Amino acid sequence: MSWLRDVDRWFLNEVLPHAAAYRARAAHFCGRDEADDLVQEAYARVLATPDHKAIAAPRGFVLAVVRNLALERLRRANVVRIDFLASMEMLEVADPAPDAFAVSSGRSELQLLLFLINELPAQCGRVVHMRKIQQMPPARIAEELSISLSTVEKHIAKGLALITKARRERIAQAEEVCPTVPTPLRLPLT
Amino acid sequence: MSHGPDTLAPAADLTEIAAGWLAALDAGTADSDAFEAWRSADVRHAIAFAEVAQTWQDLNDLRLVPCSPETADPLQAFPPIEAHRPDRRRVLRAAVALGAVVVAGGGFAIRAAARNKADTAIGQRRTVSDNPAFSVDLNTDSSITWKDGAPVRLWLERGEIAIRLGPAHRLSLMTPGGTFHLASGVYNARLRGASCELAVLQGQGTLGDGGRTFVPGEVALATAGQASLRPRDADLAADLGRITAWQRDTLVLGGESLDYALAEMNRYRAQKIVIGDPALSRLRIGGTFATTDAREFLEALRTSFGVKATAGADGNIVLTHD
Repeated sequence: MSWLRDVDRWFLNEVLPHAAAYRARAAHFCGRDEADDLVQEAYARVLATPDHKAIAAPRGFVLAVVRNLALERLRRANVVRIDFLASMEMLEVADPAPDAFAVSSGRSELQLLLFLINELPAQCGRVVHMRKIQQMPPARIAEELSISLSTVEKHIAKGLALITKARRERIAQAEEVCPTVPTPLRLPLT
Repeated sequence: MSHGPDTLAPAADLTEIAAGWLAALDAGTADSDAFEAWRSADVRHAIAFAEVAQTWQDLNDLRLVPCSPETADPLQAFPPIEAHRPDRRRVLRAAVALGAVVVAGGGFAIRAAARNKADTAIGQRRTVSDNPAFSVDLNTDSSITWKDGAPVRLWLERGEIAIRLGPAHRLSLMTPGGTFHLASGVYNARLRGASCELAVLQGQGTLGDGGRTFVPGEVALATAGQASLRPRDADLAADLGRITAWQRDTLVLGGESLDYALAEMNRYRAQKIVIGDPALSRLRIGGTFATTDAREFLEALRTSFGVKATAGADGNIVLTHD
């Protein structure tokens, strides 16, 4: 894809495939509500690294960044879970293997994509189907459906965003495999 | 790249924006400098774009999925969504002669991007008849474009129109809800959100290719390429009067709620009439009112229901109990 840079390709191939693991760790520390935000911040830190190619183990690196960011937030917080610090220690060695977060095999991933296309609003799904499965150029889709090219674009954009978000949700569900801290106990920091 | 967690847009919004960029790049309509500026402005923009690009790339693998009934035909793959029931009864009777149309404002058309274009502002009504094959009346706040040919192709982009199509001519009416193919006749088309309501007064039409034929007296609602027929009303003549009343600058109400009446009346007004007392919403209104001047309508509300109309500084009118 010509509109991707080297750093984007590296990010897609080395970092993003382990998104479930990052989110699981983030959710463990900060709860699910803040997990996405913490992971996004970690991605930003990683991509801001001057030489991303020097990162030998991107997965472990991002997990470490997530942990450090969680610690930063801990320091800023005026209330903290008493079991939080213990769990930070535990997770030094509790990095589940990548397979634990594998959402699906390649085959079932294709089935998932087909399912998600079918779940799109009818006209939106029809346009995405024509573009990605039938490989029709956008201008021809516009002609076939008697709609404008900009409408084709809007359907593509909408479908792509919905599918991307649905996949992200699926990754979020995978966090369930990560061990979670039991009943939260909150104490004020001194 | 720079990033600032405190100034971030929600991830979902960034995903939509990134998907918009990718779709524009794919269609070849994106300004590449503007795209690069957006992507470089914040590292999270780059992340959002990479994520949608990953989805885009993965979707390419679907090319290789063996054909099945579910994947071969997009029309089969995406069954029609359930069309919603209309909230207003409107049925026309067959073979009704359309009265002479009052032309207000005169017709006009301009050339734009290889299409002819005509539109009206709020409160205006116009007739376009520069082509012997057809003429179109535009109701308030409406917009159309068209291309001559066989068939004529006409896009209804906003509002409501009446179409008169001459003998031996055909017209394809493109709407957000789908494309109607019309034979010579008389039709009324009105956009309702992403749907389009087509009333056949004379002639016949279909939605899409090979769809059911709509005949005079039927009103079809097209949504996402699928049509649903409005139930027939016992009083077809009255409904016909309501559906074509705008061409005589009138609004015909047959016991609809005040909410509905105001929504219809406000289509013709830049300054809106709003309900200031929720209890008024339950009022039922009947009668014929001019759309060009609301005073008659407001006077009827005052004398019949004791409803007081107060004009605000912004020109809007608020209705309350007297």
